[in-house]
Amino acid sequence: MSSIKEIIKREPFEKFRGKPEVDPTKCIGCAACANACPPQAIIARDEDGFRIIEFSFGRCIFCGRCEESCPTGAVKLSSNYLLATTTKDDLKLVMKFRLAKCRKCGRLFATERQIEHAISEVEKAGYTNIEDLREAQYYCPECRAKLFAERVLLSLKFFRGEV
Amino acid sequence: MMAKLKIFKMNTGSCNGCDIEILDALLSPRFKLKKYEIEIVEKPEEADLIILSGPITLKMRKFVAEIKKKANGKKIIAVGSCGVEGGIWFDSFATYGGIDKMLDVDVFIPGCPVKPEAVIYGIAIALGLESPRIKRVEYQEP
Repeated sequence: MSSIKEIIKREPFEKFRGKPEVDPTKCIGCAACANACPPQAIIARDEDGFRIIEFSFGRCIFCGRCEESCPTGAVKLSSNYLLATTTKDDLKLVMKFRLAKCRKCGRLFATERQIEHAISEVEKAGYTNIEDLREAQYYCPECRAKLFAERVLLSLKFFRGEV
Repeated sequence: MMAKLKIFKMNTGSCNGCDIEILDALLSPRFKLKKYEIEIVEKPEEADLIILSGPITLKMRKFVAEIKKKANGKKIIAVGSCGVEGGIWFDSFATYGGIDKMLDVDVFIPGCPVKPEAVIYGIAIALGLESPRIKRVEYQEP
């Protein structure tokens, strides 16, 4: 026989999947976890210049796919299972990230952290023309495609001797 | 001094995962409580606590409505991700949603399935012996 306090102190077995712990300082707001989440316990939406990532641990099935899909390791499943509560509001985690504007068309297309993460990843891979890359990364995908197409056309003209 | 704790338990459409864990928590010697003797009762009106597991399936709706009539003032515990918010079946054609869609739930115990320890903890919260440890977290990029 044991008391309630003794029972809830018991450690779960190794590799137990408990509550996903999120480090908001590491999160870049890319919403990869929201795409991977089978019960849609993680929802991502864009609202007034912010991307909102909302975790609802009430619906979470503790599968660990958010941890698998996270590019920065911001989500880690802990061994915490004492999630019982009296209101569903306690089971929410809301994170807000600023969205960046496209420098050409002004559309909000990705979070600032996401862009910085992409730049640092390309930098790690050995790309050296960072200033050029930085400019291109702050264009939305459509404008970026146009930008590169214009550059290719310009270089073609240059080689033909038209410019 | 052993206090008797009468519990009514119903599966409102769960996959039986949570039910096995609940029965483990209530009946197995590993989770035998010092101060409480747990008895599983047949009728909701006899119980002190009502434990419901699983999303409400369309066919179970009438039984849940019956519990609503008989539950008057009794503590209701929703168990499992499905019981809290519909879980993986949140948009299924055959389910109605979480248990709080039809009843006033006092304690929510998330988990898929819940650990028996979490069930004991949820019962302790319902009895006022423990307080919830999880709080809503909000973060805004500085």
